[in-house]
Amino acid sequence: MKDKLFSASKSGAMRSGQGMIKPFISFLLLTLALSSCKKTGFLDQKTLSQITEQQVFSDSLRSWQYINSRYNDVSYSWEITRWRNGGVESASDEAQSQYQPTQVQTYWQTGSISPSNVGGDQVWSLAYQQTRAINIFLKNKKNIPVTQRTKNLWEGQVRVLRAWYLASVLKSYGGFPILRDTVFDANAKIDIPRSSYEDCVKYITSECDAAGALLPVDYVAATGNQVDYGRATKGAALALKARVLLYAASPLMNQSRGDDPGRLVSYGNYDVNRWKLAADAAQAVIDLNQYSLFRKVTPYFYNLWLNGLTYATANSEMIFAFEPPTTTQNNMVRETVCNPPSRATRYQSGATVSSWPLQELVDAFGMANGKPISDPASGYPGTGDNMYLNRDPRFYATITYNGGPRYLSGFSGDQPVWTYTGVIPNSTSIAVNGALTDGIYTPTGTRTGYYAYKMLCNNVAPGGVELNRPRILMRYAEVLLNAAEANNELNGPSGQIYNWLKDIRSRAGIAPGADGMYGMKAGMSQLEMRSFLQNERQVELAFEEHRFYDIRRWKLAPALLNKDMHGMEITRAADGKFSYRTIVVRSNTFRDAMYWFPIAQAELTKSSALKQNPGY
Amino acid sequence: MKILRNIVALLCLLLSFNEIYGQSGQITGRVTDEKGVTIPGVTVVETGNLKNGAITDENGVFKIAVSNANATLKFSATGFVGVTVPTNGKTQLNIALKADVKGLSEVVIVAYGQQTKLTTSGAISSIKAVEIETQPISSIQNTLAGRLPGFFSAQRSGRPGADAADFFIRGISSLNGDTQPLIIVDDIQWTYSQVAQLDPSEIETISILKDASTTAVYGVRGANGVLLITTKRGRISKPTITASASFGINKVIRYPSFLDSYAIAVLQNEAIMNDSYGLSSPLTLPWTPADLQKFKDGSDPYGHPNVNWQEELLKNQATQNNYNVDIRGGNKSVKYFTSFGYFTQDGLLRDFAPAPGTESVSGNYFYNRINFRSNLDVTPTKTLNIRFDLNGRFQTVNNPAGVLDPSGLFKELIAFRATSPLTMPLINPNGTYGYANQSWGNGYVNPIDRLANGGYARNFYNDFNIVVGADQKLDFITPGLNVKANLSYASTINEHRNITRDVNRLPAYYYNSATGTYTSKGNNQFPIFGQNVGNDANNNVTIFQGSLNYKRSFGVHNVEALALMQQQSTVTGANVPLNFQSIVGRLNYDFKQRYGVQMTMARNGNDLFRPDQRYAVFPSVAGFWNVSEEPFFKRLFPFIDLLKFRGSYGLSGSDNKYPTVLSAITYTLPGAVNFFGNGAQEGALINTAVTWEKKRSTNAGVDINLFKGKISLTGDYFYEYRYDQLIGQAGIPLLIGQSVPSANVGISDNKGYEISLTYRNKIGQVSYSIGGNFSHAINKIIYTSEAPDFPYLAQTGRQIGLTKGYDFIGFYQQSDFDASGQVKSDIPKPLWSTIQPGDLKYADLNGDGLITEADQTFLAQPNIPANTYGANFGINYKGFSLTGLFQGAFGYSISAFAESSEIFGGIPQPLQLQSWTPANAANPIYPRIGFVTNVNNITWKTISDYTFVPGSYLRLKSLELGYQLPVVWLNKIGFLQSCRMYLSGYNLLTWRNTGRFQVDPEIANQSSNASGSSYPITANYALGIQLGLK
Repeated sequence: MKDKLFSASKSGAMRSGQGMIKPFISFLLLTLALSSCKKTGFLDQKTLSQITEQQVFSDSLRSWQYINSRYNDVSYSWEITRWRNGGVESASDEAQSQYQPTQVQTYWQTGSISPSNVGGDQVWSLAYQQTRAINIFLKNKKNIPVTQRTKNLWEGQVRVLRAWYLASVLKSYGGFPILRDTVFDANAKIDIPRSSYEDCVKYITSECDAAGALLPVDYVAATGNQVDYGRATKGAALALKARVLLYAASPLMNQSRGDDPGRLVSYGNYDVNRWKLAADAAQAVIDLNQYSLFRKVTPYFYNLWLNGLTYATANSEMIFAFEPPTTTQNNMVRETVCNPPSRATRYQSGATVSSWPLQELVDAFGMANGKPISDPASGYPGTGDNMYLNRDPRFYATITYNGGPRYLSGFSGDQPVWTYTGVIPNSTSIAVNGALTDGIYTPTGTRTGYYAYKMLCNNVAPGGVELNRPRILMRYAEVLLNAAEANNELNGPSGQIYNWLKDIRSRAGIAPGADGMYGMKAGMSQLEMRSFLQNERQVELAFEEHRFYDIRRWKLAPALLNKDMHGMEITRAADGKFSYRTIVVRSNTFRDAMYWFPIAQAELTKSSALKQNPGY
Repeated sequence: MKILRNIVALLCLLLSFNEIYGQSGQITGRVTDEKGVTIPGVTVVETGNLKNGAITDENGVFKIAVSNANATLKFSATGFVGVTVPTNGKTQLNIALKADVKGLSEVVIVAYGQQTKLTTSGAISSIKAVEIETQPISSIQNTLAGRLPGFFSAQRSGRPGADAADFFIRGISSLNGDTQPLIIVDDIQWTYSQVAQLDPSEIETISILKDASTTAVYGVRGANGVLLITTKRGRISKPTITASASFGINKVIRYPSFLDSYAIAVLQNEAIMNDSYGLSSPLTLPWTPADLQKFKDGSDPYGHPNVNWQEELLKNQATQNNYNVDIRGGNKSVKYFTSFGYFTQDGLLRDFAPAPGTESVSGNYFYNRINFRSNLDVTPTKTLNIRFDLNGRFQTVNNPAGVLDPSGLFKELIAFRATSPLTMPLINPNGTYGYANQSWGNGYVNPIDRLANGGYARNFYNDFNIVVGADQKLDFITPGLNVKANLSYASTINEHRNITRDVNRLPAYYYNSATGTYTSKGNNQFPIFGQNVGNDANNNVTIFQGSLNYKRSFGVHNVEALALMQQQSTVTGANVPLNFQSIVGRLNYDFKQRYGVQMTMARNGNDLFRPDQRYAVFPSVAGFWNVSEEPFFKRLFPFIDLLKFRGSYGLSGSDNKYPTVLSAITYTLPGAVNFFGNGAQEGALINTAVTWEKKRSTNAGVDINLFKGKISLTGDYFYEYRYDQLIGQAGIPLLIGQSVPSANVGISDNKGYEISLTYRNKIGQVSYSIGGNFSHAINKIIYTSEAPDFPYLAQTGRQIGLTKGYDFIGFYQQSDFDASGQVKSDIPKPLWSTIQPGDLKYADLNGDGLITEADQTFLAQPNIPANTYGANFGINYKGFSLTGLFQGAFGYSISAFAESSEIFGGIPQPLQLQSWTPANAANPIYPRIGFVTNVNNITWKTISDYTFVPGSYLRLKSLELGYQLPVVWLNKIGFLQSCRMYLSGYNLLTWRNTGRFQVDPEIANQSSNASGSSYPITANYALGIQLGLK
């Protein structure tokens, strides 16, 4: 068998040495053949199916979806979870967040904010991510197979969104590198200096004008499509412009400062005309006659926040908002962070409550008669049992206090929230012993004696409902206050200013009073009106990402932030009587550098053209 | 498919080769050693006619037909000094070979072949598996440290089925975590986890290849060094059946010790007193003197429990058994080695009975493994050898499912909230279980309840390999040439079966001892078991190798050459196959074994990359000078058997874990991004130019053997320069607005040395040996893409793996504070929290009066030892043998900045009794304790060298006492050929330095959930027996 098998080649071997070499050579050839990818294809790269830029922008639906994604981060800077367990309200005199030593709000509170630890703030990175994405859209705009009219609506949207993101950078960090329509590739050498504050204001406002020209006042009316309710409109563009110009006219920016040679955070001079620009810009929004204060469902100031997600629940006051997707988590995101543990949502595990209003905010609310609590005529009884009675109605829509009524599963009618410490009655009912979890000094409870309530829905709690709602980022009341402030700075108080304020205060539910002045002093001086407006903004716009920036641009931050922050310790005795004591919740530090965010040190290291803000 | 086609073509070629038959006179004879014991498998060739050869059979008998009556025959065998004998017309030749005491003919396994110690120029360390096969361990890499110079390892866990050590050859030199050596078992690439499953009794030799001359042939896979394993094969001998069994126990080297309830309660009161610092009225203490008394005297075990959960849940020891049978033998036509092994290891958890009336589902840790191997060599003709190897490993790893902490039971056992002694009573008076319901608790159900009723998570790992190959001698073309082809197929199929319940919903009751009442946690019924069965990894690898080998001596010139091509196709899960291709050439030349040179070249291609970056060439050159072969030297220094200088230089590379290079940026279409609907997003930017990572290595070494092999010494120095490393680009501003791809920009180097020395001798009937080795490796980052906040925090120029943090300089003392309790203005303080006496104090390195991020520095050393050493000894007297290995490491850091080191994060430990208090202000070893989260003292948030300790250890890694029964006894028994009994231990003694923290010097590494939270390393003891059956 073996001999037979090998006989053929054996005889071949005998015949000639050449024949022996053949297999050897053929092996070598084979080896070479195998090693050549072109012949065998062994190493040909597989083509993976993937969606490319071209495939997105040659398709109208995908292009439209691409625009949807540009809205994703519009509410980032506004969120109460901006820095995970806190946002700007807890870096200011509005709220106390849960103590998270390595989060950005704590760095602001302790004065330790620095270029090395500001990286937890994403305003800068998100703005440039969205700018890139928007610029990719603009670059591909011409290829999208839709009508020119639709294209204009789309372009207007993304340009106002880009202006919005960059305006968030401007108010936090000051002048920024203006990229305009640049899209960098992976190998680009990027070293772009920050533009001056003035140039950035000009860029943003001109973008607002250009975008506004492309956009309708009423998006639904323009497209006839109700699902477009909530997209950026001309009103959003103009309101953003008004806000940016108000900031630009403010004392912090509208000045000359020696430590800002690059004019990154200031103009380098004072010009009263900047107030004029701000007043005109706010007036332009008012003149659209598109907006009015929300008076659809009572109580107005409470329901204002719950309307505006859809065309059916349209909100006449809402100018620009983030319209979140309807997921269970979104339907209760704010309650998850703010509700007392006794009303915890299902996403809340005891320890995530993280925004407790400070006494400083509570005391800013006047009485139902419109008078501040410091006014002896207001009827405020002072610290004690009745101090939460007859307050400005906005107080009850902003703060949950000891005994404040809130929905509780299993009960008909709201039940009190207990924030006290001391003797807790023995009971199995949370309505009675809720202080076990909600009370001050308990591991899960409030740190200030209060819970935040603004923008919450009472019934969103276990056993209650879910409610998706818009996150309103710009609203008409702010525009009125912007107009009032700019006009007051320009020409002092006027009847128009009083009328705007009366509108706001009557909607708030403040009693008009015999004089019809809603508690306002008639004939205020410019100075009196300025501080009145400052208080009105603090109350009306609490928790809406204003206070942190307002007290900076007014240059009030050193006085307001370099001091202790307070809460209310309420102690219940065995006999059920309460005693009250104002306590220090934290000591707050403010350094002059902290008017502005520091530019992250990593970015400065990467780019020598970038310059740091003064004081860091 | 392509691979298969190639195989068929090659096999046809092989079969077409023929045979040469010699002629003329027949010579027979027997080859024995000096004692007259026959030697099978001795190669006999006629000099000058290399095609004419024979091999002695199992009785040492050979038969050869020589071409003429005056032919000379050359006899050679591994371990013996070869001889050349003239036949002088005889037809009968009996030869006695001398043992090679100098060790110069010792075979060294290298890539795709073998060399002798005399002529190799590479840096290779190797051991025979027989040295480790009786070690009572499940993973062979755990015993290689200290035996193989250049082998660095760290065992991170002792969990059954997951206790294999991480290992590195010559330390690490990678910036992107690409540190795993290539593992080659019988020419086939294996994974880290596969090699951990290998039964040591299947192994013949273990080598590590360290320098470029030995690794460059692996090209792109050789940059991290190579662990090369060959398994046992059949040999010409009578069938030998070896049966062995060992029975052992594993004992935990050291459990951490925790404080009891009373001590903890006292500390909690102390914490509240500390937290009252600066307050007008002190906070209320959590425990009254009456409480403390109850904790102390145990009079209220339910209201004031004191449970050592570690003792309640864990045993001190577990068992492990190992059984193995193998058969080895063969003749000229067929040689075989088959082996079957079974290994089983239990876990440290106690067995708990499930609740009455419920199903029992075993939740304990265990590990079972079945190994089999059948290596078959068939020699149908004198010149053709066909190889057919089958081997497989089937493992089962069981873990308890009733563990709530995702990091595992041992994390839970150090967590204060879950298992502090005062969390809950062991069991309620009525036999039910409790749960953690204190204010700091988290509702965790009693761990016994969970472990007894929670079910299991069980993983099955099935590995199966086939290798078929043929090796045809091509002496008819030119003597010394052969062609070889191997096809291997490796398949891994992993599955899991989990039988679990929601342990949060197990019935649990809080028992109020004051009122005698029970409060349910909410669920009074056992939830039903859920089961989850599925496939996990499902991989297969097909490798084809074809090679031409040439080896021939022309008088004083010795030539050896290899040309090899390899194709490898790897399919992982449902992914597209990854294809890899390599051509290798190697040429060795030496003159009289005195001067030698070796050149190798590998050209690799990989379909991950674009065609223009796809191929790379990895060359190496090496040489040796055997001074001891110089005639003058032999005259002058006759006692020097070997003095050889070696040197090598070359390139190797890596493509480990590289992503497939995309040609365009991928867009995604996420669903429901907002109320308007779905979205569309650009994906991360891409780098189409991704290519191989490369390493240039230089090696210089010396080998010395003295006094007929009594002393041998090997030393090596190396320098490695690793570049084109694919790392993230941290230097690109955020203005780019998108994630940036990695690029081939990283550069690092690594240098070090290894020395090993062995002394062997015999005094009377006592033979002994003693040896030691030392390895040192230190790396440096030459370039990494980074944007440090401060120039002095740049990693460039430093070691890989350093941690950044603050410099701990002591504790704030009362003298640092003014009358109002504030830190004095001239004392630096941080802003991140309010400082009070007893807090950790850090150095103000930049002198600005504040402790800020600018005061950070690089701390300590990395967690991989820079130095590792071993010392072994062996003594034989008659049938007795005693062997041992000490192994140690130093020059690294252990960090303990996890929860376990934080008071009331982990269960308080004895060191916290020595915390700072006004009374203990002079010699504290722990900061003042407190409940208030003080970031300054939370060591894992404010990282400082307070929690870094220089690590070092010395372990008695193994010790074995064996006794071989005398042959005369065995002869009486009849069926036994040999019988050896032994007592063996692993990790028997440890001398350690881990500073103030209770961590294992090998386990501890820089992760927030490590530091004592891993399954502890065990010391293993075994009693074993090995029987050779007739």
